[in-house]
Amino acid sequence: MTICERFAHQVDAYELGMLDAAARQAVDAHLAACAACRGLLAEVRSADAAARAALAWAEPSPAFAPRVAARARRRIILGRLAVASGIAAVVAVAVCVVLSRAPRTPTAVKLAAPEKRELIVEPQGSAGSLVAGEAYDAYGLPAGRLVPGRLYAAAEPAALSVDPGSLLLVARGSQFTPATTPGRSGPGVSILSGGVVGQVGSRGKELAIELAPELGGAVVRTRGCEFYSYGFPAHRLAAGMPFPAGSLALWPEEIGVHVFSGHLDLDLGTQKLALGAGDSAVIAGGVSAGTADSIGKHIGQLHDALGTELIEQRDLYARLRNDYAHRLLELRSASRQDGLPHLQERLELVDELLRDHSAALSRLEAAHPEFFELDAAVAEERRLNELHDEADHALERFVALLDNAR
Amino acid sequence: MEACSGGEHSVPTDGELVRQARAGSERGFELLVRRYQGIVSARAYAVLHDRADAEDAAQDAFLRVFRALGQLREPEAFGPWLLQTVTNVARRALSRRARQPMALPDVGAVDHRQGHPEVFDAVAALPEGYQQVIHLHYSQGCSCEEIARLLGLQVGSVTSRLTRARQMLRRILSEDKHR
Repeated sequence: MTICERFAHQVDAYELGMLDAAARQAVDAHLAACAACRGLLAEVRSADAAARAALAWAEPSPAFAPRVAARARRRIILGRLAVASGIAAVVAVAVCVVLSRAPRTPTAVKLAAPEKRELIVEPQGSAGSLVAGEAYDAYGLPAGRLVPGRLYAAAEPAALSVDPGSLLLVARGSQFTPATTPGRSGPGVSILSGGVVGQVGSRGKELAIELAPELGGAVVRTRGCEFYSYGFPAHRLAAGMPFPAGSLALWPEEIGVHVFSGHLDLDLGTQKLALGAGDSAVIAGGVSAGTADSIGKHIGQLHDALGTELIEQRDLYARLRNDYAHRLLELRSASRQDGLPHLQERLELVDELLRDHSAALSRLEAAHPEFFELDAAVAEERRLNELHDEADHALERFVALLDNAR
Repeated sequence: MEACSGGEHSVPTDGELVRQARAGSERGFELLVRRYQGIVSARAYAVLHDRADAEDAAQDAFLRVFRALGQLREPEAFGPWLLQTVTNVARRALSRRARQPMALPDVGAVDHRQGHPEVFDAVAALPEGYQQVIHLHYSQGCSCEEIARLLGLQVGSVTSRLTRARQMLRRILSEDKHR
């Protein structure tokens, strides 16, 4: 090995200050005489400077430590109370009351399903509010806050407000009140201008929602059933995921279920409910799978099984998909189109990228069903942590009451 | 940056602060937060690539370790334990974020990778164990000894890991440049 080759091996140790005095002295002597090695060292230092500049992390905001300490203070109050004689029992009861708030006996209520699940389109897009029925975004996923199958009463506040140009599809049987003509309600409407865009229905055993390719939305396939929590898709049993026995143990307090095809037999211990294709239900009183710690361990195992690379890949696809969806919405917004060169080309490009990334995300998730189990466990852990926080707040109020009483 | 600022003798050790916090000292815990807040946020940022999300994850991690402080068998091992916790918390946040239905990005959001996207991409391409030492080395200015203490590793293994990580990073950056 030549001296230069040896230096190439040692350059990092040299820069990290890990060479002993004699070795460092030898390197210094060689550097003084060798332009090539000086060049190499300059390259290494330049790469170091770039990495340092890119990764330099500013300290969190000055309020960070006091904020964290303030939240921790509630825990300290708990600790002090726990050791105080006579109060410990009260605290234990308070914690138990808060943590056991969720009912332990699950019950299910079958919901009336919409008459026909078909998406239709009106030629003109308009702003307005959806007051009944169901809506889907461009990917065939249910749009927020509308539980499929739930019939919204006309007197309820608008369930979902939409802007003109939104890629929102509304199922037939839904009621939409355009902002321009208040009070008018009608059958389903798509806010997107254009031709027929797709259908919601059942084809074979898999298809739940299919969107026409010109929409730029991905084709979403669902086997079995799809779940919603508070109107948002709860991804534990999402597209492509078979329904595993025992999943009920991980359900939160209340969850909606809609069976797109096939059937679902719910056995809740005290109640049995058979749901067929097109049926929806709300199940209350799911029980926790364990403590936050045991779920945390389970999450760790799932992370190890999937690996960081896959998890980050999924996050990347999801972020890119959302990013391109955002750009597509912007490009389709009339106000942004004025004077924009090559509009059609831009639309086509973004549309293609959106479709590619949506498809890539679906493929990745379908190939690794552990993702859905992970989502379920993460959601449950979060719920338990919220309950802990709630318990903390309750204790803090309790302590304040005690202080005032003294 | 405090966790890597070197140790003067008058400064209480992690173990002492952990014992104070366990005994109910708010000050003890706040000092631990101040000592580790930079490094914890940086670790979360390495996973999430978003400053606001990273700060949330950091806060969550501190509260989790605080809740479980009584279970820590070796108070001096607080640093490695905290870093492992924040890594787990950040990964979970990553999973949650990926599943946000149509969570469209804020139009006005600033891309913190701006100006150096190639470095971020290159670091992201490294194996995780390498990413960890690279972040501690470059963003926190930690020495091999400090990284070893924080990660609960031998100095020798940190040195070889950091050396390989630096070499790999340079190779990726150089390949990107010539592409």
